[in-house]
Amino acid sequence: MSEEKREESQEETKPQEEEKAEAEAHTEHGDEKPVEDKEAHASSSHAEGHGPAVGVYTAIFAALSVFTLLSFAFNGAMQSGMISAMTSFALIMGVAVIKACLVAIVFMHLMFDWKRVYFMIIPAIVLGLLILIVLLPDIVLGWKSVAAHELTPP
Amino acid sequence: MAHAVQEEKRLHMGLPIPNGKLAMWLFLVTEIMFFTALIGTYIVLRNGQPIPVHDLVAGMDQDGNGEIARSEARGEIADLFEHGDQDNNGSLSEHEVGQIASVLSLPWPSPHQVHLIEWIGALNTFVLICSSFSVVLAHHAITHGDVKKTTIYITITLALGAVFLVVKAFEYNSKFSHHILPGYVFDRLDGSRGAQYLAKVQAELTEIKEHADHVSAEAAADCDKLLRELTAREKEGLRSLTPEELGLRVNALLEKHPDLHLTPVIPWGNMWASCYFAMTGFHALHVLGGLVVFAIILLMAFFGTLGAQHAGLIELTGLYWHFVDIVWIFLFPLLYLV
Repeated sequence: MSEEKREESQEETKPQEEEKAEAEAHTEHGDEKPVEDKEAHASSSHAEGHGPAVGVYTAIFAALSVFTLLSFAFNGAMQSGMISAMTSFALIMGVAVIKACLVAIVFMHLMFDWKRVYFMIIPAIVLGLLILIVLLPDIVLGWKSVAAHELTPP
Repeated sequence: MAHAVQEEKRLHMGLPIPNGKLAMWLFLVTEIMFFTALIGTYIVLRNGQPIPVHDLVAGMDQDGNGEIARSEARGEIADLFEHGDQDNNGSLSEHEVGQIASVLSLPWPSPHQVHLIEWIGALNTFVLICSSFSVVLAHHAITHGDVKKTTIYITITLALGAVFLVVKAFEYNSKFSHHILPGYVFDRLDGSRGAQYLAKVQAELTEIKEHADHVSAEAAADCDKLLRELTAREKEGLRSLTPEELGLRVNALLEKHPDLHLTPVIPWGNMWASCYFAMTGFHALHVLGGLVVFAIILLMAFFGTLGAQHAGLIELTGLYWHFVDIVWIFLFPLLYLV
């Protein structure tokens, strides 16, 4: 608590212009005014989009449940031979990506925060994909050596 | 407390987001890379096996010749069973041979082989989705200053997370009881490992014979047949079963009677177990971490200190929890389905 107070007093000593400039920068980014009383904070932060309506959450929840059932169904279709293993792999992973995006965009509030955090998320995802890409030769060259050794007709 | 509320919306130098949210997102992106590394390792190990699993099924499924190789391997396995069953006429049908061939040809254990049950994984996915839903509702409630509702939703989230861990514990227990642990799986049978396998299966078959009333009559008869063959071949002047042959026979027996307490041969089983426990173990630790935070929030509610000023705390906890959910959204299909 004492720390919070100290920080606050520091902020109060800030030059007036600087705070004003900052406030302007924030309104540009869709943020609200710096100081609000308790009630205004609660309601305006909602209006600003710190939470969509419960109906939106419920719809996303329903969609996620349906998608889980769907990936289960794709797996069943693959086991009964209706679709090939490759098709079901693509469908199931596609469903997983859609589910992850729904959770990230709505539940994690990226629909409001994306432009404030994208510079952290994009490099991480790019680096993550790079890990997979630089490892791919290991897989493909492995297949090749098998093909050379085992599958050449005698 | 009013100070704390103001502090929450105070503007900072730098980025136009609260410091807490910035820190949480920075943490989450390191987590993204952490889990990508684990999942990437899994993908490479799963797909990058340069050596075929079994000499009998060498080169299968690798390219366009896969079907030819598969039918050749089927022929070889059928031969094996004909020769192996000289002293009794228990040879397998073409369909069964095909099943064994396709099981052994897999360059990676199938979920079925390692006792992963799809619907349990799907159930756990659903449990985590529900908990994600309840945590956003908790955040929604606290931004409206409704501490009572928030407490209820956080309790629900905590309970759902605990359900996830309990289900996970049952799954782990099933792995332990089937000896699907790194280093314990018989995935290759050369050298001393083969001798160990022969001895182990013989002991298991003897055990089943001694407690024959625990299994169906047919299963007991099949086991007895295999045991007699294992021990009696030498007397009849036949060469003894190699560990590989025995492995195929045991896998075939387990296809017929899945409940028998016999050790199967699981190609790449140790590697699979390492990947499985690394990925799901780290995920479960993350779930546990989330539960600790939810418990702290509930304690705050219990002592009456939880209030609208904690909307940020609940939002950040929610961010973490959704991330844990997203990781499972990928782990579930990768481990249980594809």
